[in-house]
Amino acid sequence: MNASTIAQPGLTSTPDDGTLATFAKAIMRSLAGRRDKPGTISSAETLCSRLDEASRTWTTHLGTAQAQMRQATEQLLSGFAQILEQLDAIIQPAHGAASGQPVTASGLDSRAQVLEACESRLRGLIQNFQGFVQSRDAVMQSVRQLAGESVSLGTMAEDVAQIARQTNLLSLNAAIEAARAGPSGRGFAVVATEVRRLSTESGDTGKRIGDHVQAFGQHMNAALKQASEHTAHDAQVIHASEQTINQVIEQVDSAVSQLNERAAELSARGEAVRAQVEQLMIAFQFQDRVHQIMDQVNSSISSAVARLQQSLKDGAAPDADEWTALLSAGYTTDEQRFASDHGSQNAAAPSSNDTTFF
Amino acid sequence: MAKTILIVDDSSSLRTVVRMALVRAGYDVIEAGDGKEGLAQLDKAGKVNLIVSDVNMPNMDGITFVTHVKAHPRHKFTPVVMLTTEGQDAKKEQGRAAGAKAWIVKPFNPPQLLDAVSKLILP
Repeated sequence: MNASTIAQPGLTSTPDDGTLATFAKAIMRSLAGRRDKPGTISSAETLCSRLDEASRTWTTHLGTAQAQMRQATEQLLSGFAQILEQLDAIIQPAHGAASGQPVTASGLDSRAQVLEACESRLRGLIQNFQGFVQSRDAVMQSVRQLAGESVSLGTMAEDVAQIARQTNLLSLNAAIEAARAGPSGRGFAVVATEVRRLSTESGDTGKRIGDHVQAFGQHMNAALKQASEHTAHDAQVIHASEQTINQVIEQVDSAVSQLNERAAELSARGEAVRAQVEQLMIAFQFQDRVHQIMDQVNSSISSAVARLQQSLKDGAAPDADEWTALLSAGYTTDEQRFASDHGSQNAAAPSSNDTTFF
Repeated sequence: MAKTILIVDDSSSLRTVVRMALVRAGYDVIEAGDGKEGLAQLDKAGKVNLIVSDVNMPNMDGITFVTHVKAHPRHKFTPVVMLTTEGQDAKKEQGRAAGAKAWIVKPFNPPQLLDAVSKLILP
């Protein structure tokens, strides 16, 4: 409200800067100098009454503004607090994604770990395949050696048959020599006959051994041939499986990398947002300062009006020092004191981070 | 077991900011809206490890509150950090005389408060 809008007749001094203090002083100066003129007192009383009415209105409006600002600030802070809690839930470690929890940055980490475990298992499977092939190759090598031994056995059986034939021939010669010897060679002839019979049996046994060894060798070779065919087929299957697994692993690697990058990005962004929200919450401390300044303004308005009404009764204006003290009573912030000392200049809220320890 | 800090401030928004800073640092927090409530909370809690108190509050201001705390046999050794818009040396001297251990002018930042708390808090 501008003072000129409530100027009354009989007042010669009109405030030139529009402040309440100057206006009040103008009233009191006018009142003190013109008490003898009719209408002066009633005009001053009217002005004070209007001023009182205006101060009540201003106080009410200030209170309304304070209440609204306090409520809005509290709502904002409450909302920010909830945002921070949710950010904490997203960023901070939780239990694994395998538990069916919502996807979070930590959940992505867990999934990445699961995928890495899958990759490790698949690589282990390939190693198992390769180990199996190596074991079978070792068995096949032993079988090949065994086949080689069967050939030696066949040779040995042939040697036995050859020895039997030579023995048979030798026993035949012995029988001829025994016949020539006459009666004295009969005993020797019996021995020669028996040796011949044994050599014949040895020859038959050697032949049977040879036959068995040959059959064994044939079975062995057939088995080797079949095993070689299976080995080639298995090698192809294993090779194809290995390629498939490698492709899967590459895809898994790619997915894991993307998930890890995404998780890291989410965490970084979450941290950045959290820091910003925290800074915003800190900035909202202005509300406390504003609230205290407005409280003081409310109180000061009431005190000023009461003092002016008292001055009207006393017929004497408060002096400058008293008036300044009245207006500055209840200051709680340095910017209030600064503004009071430097006229209409505004002062910023302090930003000192110093702590005074006692 | 987490240490407990009592916050005394008539501004609920300020209490929210202080509470979040302290809880995030691992402290338990109880709150009061003025000095009288603060004394009642102390009686109820039995023991707190530190108090953070405003100065200008209705019903009972922070200086009076600290004076009462220091006169209480159970709480007289509890450290008090004043957290206020007041930056005048005269006010600080009142706080020191009443028994406060530190004085921080609002607006504060959490590391500043946590630094003072960690230096002063009782075991």
